[in-house]
Amino acid sequence: MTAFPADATAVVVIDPLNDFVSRRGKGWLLLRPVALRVDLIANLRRVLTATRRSGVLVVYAPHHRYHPNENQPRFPNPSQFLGRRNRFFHAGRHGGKFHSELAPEAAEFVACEHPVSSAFGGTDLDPHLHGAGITHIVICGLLTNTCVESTVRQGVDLGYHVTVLRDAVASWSHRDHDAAIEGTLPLVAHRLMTVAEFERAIETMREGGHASASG
Amino acid sequence: MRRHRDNIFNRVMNGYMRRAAERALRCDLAFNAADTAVLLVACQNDLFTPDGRGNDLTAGPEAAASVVLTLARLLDTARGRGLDVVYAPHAGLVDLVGDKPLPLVPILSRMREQGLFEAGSWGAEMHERLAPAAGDDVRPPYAGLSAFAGTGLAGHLWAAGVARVVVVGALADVQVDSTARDAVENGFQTIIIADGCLASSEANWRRAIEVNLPRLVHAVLSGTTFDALCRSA
Repeated sequence: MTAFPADATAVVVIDPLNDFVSRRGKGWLLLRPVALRVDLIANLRRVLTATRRSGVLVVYAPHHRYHPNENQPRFPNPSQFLGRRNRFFHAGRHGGKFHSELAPEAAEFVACEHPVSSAFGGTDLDPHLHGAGITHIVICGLLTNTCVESTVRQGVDLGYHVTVLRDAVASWSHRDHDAAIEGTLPLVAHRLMTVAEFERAIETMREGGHASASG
Repeated sequence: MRRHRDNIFNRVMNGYMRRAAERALRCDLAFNAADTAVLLVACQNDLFTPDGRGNDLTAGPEAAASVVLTLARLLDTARGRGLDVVYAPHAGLVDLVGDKPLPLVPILSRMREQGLFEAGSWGAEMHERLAPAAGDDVRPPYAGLSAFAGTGLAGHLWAAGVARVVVVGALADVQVDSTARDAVENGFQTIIIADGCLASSEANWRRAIEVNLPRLVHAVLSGTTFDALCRSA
């Protein structure tokens, strides 16, 4: 049994942007099989609703947006190369905006954009969480084996207790998604749980000041 | 567990994207003494020898022996060409990353329980065929998942003029993966040598080396290809 401490837990929502999850998004056709299989959008909404009702912190970690004339890194990696070529997450346009049903609410913290894959890489997320006294983070969003897994791995190295919501994440293929969920994340995350388990844990926390769920 | 197969559109598109990125990024690969470092992650007896305390945490002695062969050859090439050779050993029985407490994740818990890399023990030493030579750079041990976490490694490499990092060692799906991701985060051109990495299992070797890391690192090469690229540089 492991507990979520009521005042020290935050849910980190990674990249719920239109190019990934909107039907008009550039990546939707590729993302769709895994997103439908895990019921991604509905599950992310359930996570947001339960978390907001409980008073636990929700923070957003959006990906770097595409700007036509910006400086390029000396060595763009494959996802940066393809993102630029496809003008993925175009700043100010539909693709670069938060999905309307998954957008941050007024008071919620939105970290600065992460340029590579970890939500902690070169952003203000760690100081913000640290300053808010957060010790436990619960991660959901996109993509399972890139941004989500990188954030998990860096979160662990930064000293957080890290939980991944296995049916509130998705990737470009079943192969990618399963590689992380079945292979690597069970080794490097403290806990994987379903959205239903998370809802129960957070509900218990509201009643008893502490949430528990089996690991 | 039910296996989910990807549809044809998905397989074709993912394959096309991957090859397009590979082709575009390949022309930037050039390894020379001026800016390239080989980073050996946890190449220690406890993971690489049959008598090591962690040999049941790896894909097995045959896999380990074959990785050692690849790495011994790669070290010859790297040293012969004057590339930096940097060792990042894993620290045993430590629960701090920098100055922060580290709640242990499952794989690190098992390493701790089995007493891997205990300071001063034979298991914490580098495998004899991969031992540091004069002029190699042996970094203080790291305690977390990534050799970059809390160790000052990025600044150290920058100061040495390193722009390209070739990551090898163990475990492919644990420390090598985290270290490679952090190398990319820190702006290094990051290359993985596929047959120079030992994973926790054969299945996880494929997941880390063939599925996850190709999306993020600049190239995944075989030891032979790396050798040829070094010679042509």
